[in-house]
Amino acid sequence: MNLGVRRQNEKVKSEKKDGTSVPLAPADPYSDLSVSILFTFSFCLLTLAFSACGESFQPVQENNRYFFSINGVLDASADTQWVRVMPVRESLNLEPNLQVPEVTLRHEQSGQSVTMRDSVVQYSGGRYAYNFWTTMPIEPEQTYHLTVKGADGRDSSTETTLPKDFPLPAFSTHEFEQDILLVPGVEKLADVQVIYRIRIEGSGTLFETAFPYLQKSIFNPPSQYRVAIDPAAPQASIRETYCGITVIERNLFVASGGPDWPEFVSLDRHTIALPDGVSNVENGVGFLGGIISKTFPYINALGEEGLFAVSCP
Amino acid sequence: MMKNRTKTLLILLSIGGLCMAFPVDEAAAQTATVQGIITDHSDDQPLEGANITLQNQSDERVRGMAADDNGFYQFTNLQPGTWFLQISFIGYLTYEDTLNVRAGETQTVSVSLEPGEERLGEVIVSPTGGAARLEAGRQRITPVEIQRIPTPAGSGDLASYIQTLPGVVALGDRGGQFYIRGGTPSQNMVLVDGTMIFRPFHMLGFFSVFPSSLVSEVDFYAGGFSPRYSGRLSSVLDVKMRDGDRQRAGGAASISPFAGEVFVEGPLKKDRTSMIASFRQSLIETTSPLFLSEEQPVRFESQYIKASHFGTEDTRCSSMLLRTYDRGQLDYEIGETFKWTNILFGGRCIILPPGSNLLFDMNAGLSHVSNEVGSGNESNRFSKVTQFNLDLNLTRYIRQTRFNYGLFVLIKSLNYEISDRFFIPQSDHDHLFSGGGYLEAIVPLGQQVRVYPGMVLTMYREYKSSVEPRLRISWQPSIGDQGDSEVNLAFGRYLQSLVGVSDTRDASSAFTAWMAEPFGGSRMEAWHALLGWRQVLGSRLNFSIEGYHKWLRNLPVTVWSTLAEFTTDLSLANGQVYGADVRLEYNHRPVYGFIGYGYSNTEYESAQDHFSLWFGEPVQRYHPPHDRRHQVNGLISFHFGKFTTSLRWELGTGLPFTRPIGFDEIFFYNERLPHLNREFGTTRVILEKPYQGRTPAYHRLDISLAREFDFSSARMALQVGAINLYDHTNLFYYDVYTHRRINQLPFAPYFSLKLETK
Repeated sequence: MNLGVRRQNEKVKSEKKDGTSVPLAPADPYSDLSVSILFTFSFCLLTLAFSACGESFQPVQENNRYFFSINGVLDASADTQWVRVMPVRESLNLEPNLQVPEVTLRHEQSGQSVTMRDSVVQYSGGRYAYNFWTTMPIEPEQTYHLTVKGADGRDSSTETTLPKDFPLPAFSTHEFEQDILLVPGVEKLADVQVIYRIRIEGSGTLFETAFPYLQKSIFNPPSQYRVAIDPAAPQASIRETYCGITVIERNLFVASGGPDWPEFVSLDRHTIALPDGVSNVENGVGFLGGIISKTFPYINALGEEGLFAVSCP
Repeated sequence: MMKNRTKTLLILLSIGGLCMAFPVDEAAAQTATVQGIITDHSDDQPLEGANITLQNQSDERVRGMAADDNGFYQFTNLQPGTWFLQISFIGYLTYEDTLNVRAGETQTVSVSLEPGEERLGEVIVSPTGGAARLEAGRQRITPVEIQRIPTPAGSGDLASYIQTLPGVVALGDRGGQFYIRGGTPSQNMVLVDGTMIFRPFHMLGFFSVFPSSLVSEVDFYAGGFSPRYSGRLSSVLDVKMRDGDRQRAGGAASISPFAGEVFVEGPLKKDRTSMIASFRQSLIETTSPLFLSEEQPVRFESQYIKASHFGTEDTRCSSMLLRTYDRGQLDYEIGETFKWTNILFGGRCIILPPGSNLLFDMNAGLSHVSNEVGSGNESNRFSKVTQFNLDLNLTRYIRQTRFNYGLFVLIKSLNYEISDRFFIPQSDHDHLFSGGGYLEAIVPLGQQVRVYPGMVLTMYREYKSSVEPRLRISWQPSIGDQGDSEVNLAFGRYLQSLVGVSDTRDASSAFTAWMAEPFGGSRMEAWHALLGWRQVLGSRLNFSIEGYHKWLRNLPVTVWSTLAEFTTDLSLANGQVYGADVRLEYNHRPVYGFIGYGYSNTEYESAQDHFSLWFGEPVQRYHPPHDRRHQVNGLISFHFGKFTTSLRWELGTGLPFTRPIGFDEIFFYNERLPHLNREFGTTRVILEKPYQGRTPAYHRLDISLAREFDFSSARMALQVGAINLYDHTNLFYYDVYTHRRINQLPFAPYFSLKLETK
């Protein structure tokens, strides 16, 4: 580095990008005092203005649209009907002892109505829900209206129509291939499950495990569904999961949805979860459907019952 | 495939050829070149903006230029003969010399300017810096300016400083995330001596890995940055770290309830090699129960060491090692623990070979970041990136036109596991290779206009090659008597292939997963347009205003959902950001102050499968959770005797958030019918359209009073101050699920003590 001849630089200069320096005008019109006062004054004024005013924060939007959440199905094949009815709550966490509403189920054609009985069901993690039930007979092709009235006078309601009855499904199967379940007389398939009834050896306790096949159903217009069922996969899953058990029963559960049954199979989770996505509840959220179901032994065309035992090593 | 490789090879050869065989000036054999590097004699740092004039002694013709950020200047096509050289800079003694130049000769005159009386008397003169010195998105930040912002530690910090800039949005005093002119943190490029650092800001928002004691200078581009920087959409913070003192050893130690720091520097070989090292450790986790109303479970630390070697000719090389660690909870009572670690190793050489008319600026670096979230000692999500970069940057002049050009190679290794938060993609391990070149010319058109055309050409192993054209125009309508003023215009294309995915439902999330584009081939893209005006009003006031507009494409955003679960899907959004920053700065001893106002409007547009059903329209426009509309920052400091007092006030209007209506449990029916007595259902938050609510405005006043004590061989600085002086309750975030409100720091008094050698 060179350290050559130096002299004191002029006190005030302005630089230009091309390198030339031009002296500024000697008189500065902006006095220290006035500028300092201006800055300080502005500063204090702004500070005081904003420290004095408190801004209210309303994080939760007032709920004047969705009062109750209603979920479940009315099944003409079932002796007892169960419907989940819960108030739409303000917090993620369940408050204890939410008020129990009054739930009425009315048969539209006859005008007959019944007040459903409440039942508090406990779930894991200390959670609970109100599941309402009735033994009122539910008939195919009939319409039912459910009304929920809260203690505060807010109410929600929904209506559903059941489908017509359908004949027992049949199998079409070939050796070494999947079982093909043919479900005739159904316009909207609501569910297909293979349900394994299992006994724990020793204690004799019974439990069920189900394998859904609704997503594997194909609609053959005008009113038949074709469902491919692979019997090997559930058996492998049970063998991997349990030991010391015996499968004592293998059943098929098939349900037909009413005319207002949405095309759930083609909808993603986000769409179904939208408050107004598939809901048929007025002044509330959720979905109440009408179905006819059939449960029958899963014995395929080759006569296989699929019963087996898994011993512990 | 073959065709692509051939194309890539051709492009590479073109760039190489461009760099190696840059157009040779035919007149050079009959003319001469004078060049050199201008540095500050007191600390050996380059003096950007130093004025160099050459006057031909035969015809009195004058040529002039300003030194660049490396202190480099170069006059080409000089007629052989005697020239009078003058190098000047405000606050420094002027250097004068008479040069005899011969035809075909390249004469190197590098000068260390000695500080003048004004500078020695600590009159602060900062011709290239200052809060209002904004030029087409670029701002030069010096340690003096960083030090002015009240920080609860022994030295100022860049993190505290950049929050005072109008276009910068910090979501709160924790999290270490900055949103710049509508860009997200992962779209910001932060360089330490040329090496990228992924998480430079500590979890406590006042601190970064850049205390003022280590910083030499910082170039901050809020947009419209030059072709030298590529691979990021939003902003560049190019930090040049100090070299250690070559002459004598020194050091400092400081302590405050927030952090403690020790730093040492000195010669390893006198006049030739020096080192500087710093160790910083947070203390707030231990001290917060004593002076704050709530415990702050936050810990951070950093270790830094740099060795610099000054060659016999105009050669300067350095290497540095930096490690940082952060750990803490954003929600201090419950919630997840965030951790991140940076490890950087880099080397840089600036060489002006004798007889050559090229300035070489080379750097190589290795940067590793790991980021994880978990409960206790278990990690639920992690993301790791290791990046190697090799850059060669060249500078030369042909006649009056300056050319900056270079080559770069980047190799990235990515590894992430995010399955507990995102449905797709969940985990992966990937390697990305890219390389390319850039060229920028600075073409003077007369005395008042300069045009900066340029472009970046990047080749990827995984994607198509890309071209990013950029243009900047500078017009100086008046200089000197009428007041220095400048109008700037910038326009350009910016691409980013490395995507930082974070859960945008929660703006306060401090976890980012780095991955190649999750949708394959949809590179994030932005176009920037800036128009700015800077005016010097007398010798004490600076004013600047800059408007900007950015068009954004292919941004990964979180799918809107009403499901109250941590796992989410990703979707793509386009968007635009527009706004303006205004600054007024006053600087005359004993008063320094500035007021800045920033307006910004960020809007995204996304098409998601369920929008038609939800809103009746397949495409929705919305303001993302970092869209702060108005921001005001002010600072005033008085210097009287050995006392300095500073007041800093900031205001930011509220941020968008989604207001819940209520909660319930949902059954999906799409796989099977619900069994009500066995299944509880999936909890749902019932929402209106997302991001329609706004959090309350945020404002805070910080104050500090400092006094210096001089001893024979040491100096002691004592500072007392307070954060949030009027104890305003500022929201950090609101948990819509639990209705818990997490606030920022309340009134927090502090003191700091710093002892340093003279």
